[in-house]
Amino acid sequence: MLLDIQSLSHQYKSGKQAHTAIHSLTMQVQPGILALLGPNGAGKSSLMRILATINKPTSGKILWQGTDIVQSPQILRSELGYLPQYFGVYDQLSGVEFLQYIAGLKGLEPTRANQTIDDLLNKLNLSHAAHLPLKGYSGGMKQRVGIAQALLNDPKLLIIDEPTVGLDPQERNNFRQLLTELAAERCIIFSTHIVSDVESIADRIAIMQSGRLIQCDVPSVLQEKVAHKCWTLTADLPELKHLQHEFIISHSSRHANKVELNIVADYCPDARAKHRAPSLEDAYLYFTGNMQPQAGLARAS
Amino acid sequence: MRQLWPCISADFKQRTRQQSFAVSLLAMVVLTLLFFPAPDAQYQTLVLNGYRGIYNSAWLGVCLAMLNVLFLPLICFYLVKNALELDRQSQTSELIAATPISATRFLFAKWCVNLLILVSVVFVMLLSTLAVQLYYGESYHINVWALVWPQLVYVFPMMLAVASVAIMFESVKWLRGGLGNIVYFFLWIGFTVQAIESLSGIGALLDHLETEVTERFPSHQGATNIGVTINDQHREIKTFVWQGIEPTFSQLTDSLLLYIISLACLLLALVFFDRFSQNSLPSRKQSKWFNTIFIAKIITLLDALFMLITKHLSFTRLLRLELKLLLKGHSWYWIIGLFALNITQLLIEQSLMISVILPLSWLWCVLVISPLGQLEKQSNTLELITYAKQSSTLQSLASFSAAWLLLLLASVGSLVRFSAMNEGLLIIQLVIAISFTASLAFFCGAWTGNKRMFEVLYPTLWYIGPIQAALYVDFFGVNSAVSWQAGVPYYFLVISVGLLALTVAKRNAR
Repeated sequence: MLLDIQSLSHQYKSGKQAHTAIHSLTMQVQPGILALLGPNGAGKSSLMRILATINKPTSGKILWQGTDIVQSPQILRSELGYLPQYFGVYDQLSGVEFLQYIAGLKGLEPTRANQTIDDLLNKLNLSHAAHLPLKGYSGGMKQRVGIAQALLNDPKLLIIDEPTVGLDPQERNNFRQLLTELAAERCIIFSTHIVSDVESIADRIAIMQSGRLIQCDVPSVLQEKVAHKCWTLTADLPELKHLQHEFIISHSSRHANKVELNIVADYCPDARAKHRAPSLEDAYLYFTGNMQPQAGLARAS
Repeated sequence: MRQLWPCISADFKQRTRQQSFAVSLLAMVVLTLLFFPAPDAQYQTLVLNGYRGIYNSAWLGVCLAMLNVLFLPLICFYLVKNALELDRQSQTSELIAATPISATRFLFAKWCVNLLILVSVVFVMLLSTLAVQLYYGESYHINVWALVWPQLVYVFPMMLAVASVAIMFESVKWLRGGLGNIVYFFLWIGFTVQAIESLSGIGALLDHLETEVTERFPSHQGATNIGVTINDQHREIKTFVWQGIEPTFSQLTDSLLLYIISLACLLLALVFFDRFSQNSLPSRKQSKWFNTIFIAKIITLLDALFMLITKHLSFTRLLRLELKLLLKGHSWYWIIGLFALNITQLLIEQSLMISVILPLSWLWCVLVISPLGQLEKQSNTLELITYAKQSSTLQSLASFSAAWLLLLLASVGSLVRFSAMNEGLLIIQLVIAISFTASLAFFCGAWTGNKRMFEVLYPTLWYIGPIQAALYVDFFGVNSAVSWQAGVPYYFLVISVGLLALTVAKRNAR
């Protein structure tokens, strides 16, 4: 089971302007969870839509178990589960009716589909609202319906774009557990710009910036790459502005007139600074900040 | 079937559980009831040589088929032309595109639902017709077959065609939106009205009826009218008992062309359907010169100029922004067209200018002003605007004025000519027509929440009114003297103010 992305590029038109969303991206996806990290506009959703066979790339190949899915998207669609960042539902239907509809589109046998729907509604804590019209669902409930529809056909490849948006902390935690359960036997590509969502569950992390893949590795290796670049510094409040301008700050906490900063920098930012253990957030900020320092700084501050 | 049935079932439920579907059914019931007036009513709908059949099942069945053949293609097209739009608007298209269902099956399912909706409409009309028969009591003998067979033979093939044409229009990118609505309307007027009779075979039936009436009442010389005819002399219409006829094989084959059209449109839809994908950028070079010089520079210059004029009052500032919102995204060809129409208004013979070019200039603006009143809902900015704006009334008036100004821009050529000739009444008529058009667009958008109602209703009024010069529908008053004599401009002025007031009230209430 392998997804092989080769020299993938994608351009799209926005108004009268042409934009390049993905620049010659090459990557292999193995079973497990691949977290796709990147700031807004990095090209994550464009990549997701292409992998989900909705958009065609401008150039490049995507091989799913050896078959080019750009040419033959149908091969992948029967083994695919997809949750887009923005999606809608038929609000006049109940949760069950809507899931039966998607199950039908996926070609599932009705008895099996109904059984799966019951299981998923239970698992996602939606059983109580199963027969209520979707127009009465909260944002988080609709998001869970979206997750359920993606899992209906027991997909071999699960593509989920910003799935935790709208979920409360408890639901996010449940969702992470569900993903960990599912990851053993399938490829999961999970896009987010919230590092804490993937820190504990991702087998590999790909970082995208401005349509380019800038890093793709296991989390520990990414952290190792910034091991000697992470510092902690307690500074006076008036110094904060200068430090924010000069360095990537991954965390700050205020204590009276002092501020404790976690800084990511190639060199020691100050004589008072001490080394500290790196986090995934440090790695993410370092790599994305290095590509576009101002963007990185702005986010950190 | 495993994929088809859930798709048909869910789509049918979603589309029929909406309030608009219930309203449409109710409207069709009202239309059916109006189509069968009492003998002493001030209008009649089907009179053959001065006679009509008594309201028995045979006569009502055939009349209902005629009504459906004539008007179902128009009304119901707009009712079912939302099968794919629904998925796009609700954003379920993203989910559907990633499933393995083939485009053929998906479109076929949508076509089936279109057909089911049309069948539901006709079924409800049949029930209403049954009620009409019992209400008038001219014959209490109910013959279900006599009521139903004309719908099967004449209306069903038309329903197949409408279901397919609607899917095709939704699949072809440039026919998908408002332009498609207008194109279809003219297709219906220009071709369908003439061709429907022969296409559906209903024309042959009419001939048969007329011959029968002439043979049975040879001494009587009356008029034959199909459609709404005003009974000026308030004379009670003569009736006769028509026992009906049985369908023949040739009647079935008369509709063969409709079956072919239906299949061809479905196949065309398949060719054009993009399966909700957005293909990557086509390698088409854009004109850099045109973009930089025309679009960037001229727009910036005009906008800066307009900003200077409007910056002193909050209303005019809002007006500028509302006008910008309406014009944003429209092609430069549209503006060039507007300019050309104005030049034509200046140069062409006056009668032609009044009866054709001026109304055409307003029609040119339909797609630009149709988002009026529902732009916020469609672009999902309602909450932002509701909390941000200072005065809802001020914003509503600015929206209305933007459309009004745009329509005035489309009529500048005529206005100059009327002023030069000192035609004060024509100038007033022009102002009223513009006010009516803008307030109707605003009203339809605000009350229905979509553009379609205005895009359908306005061309209909436009065609019956200024183009066909039907006195009480002619909101401009092509025959100026007659129009003033009948007081029509006053009516339209009152209607315009009423529509605007209702719209402002509706928007203030949100």
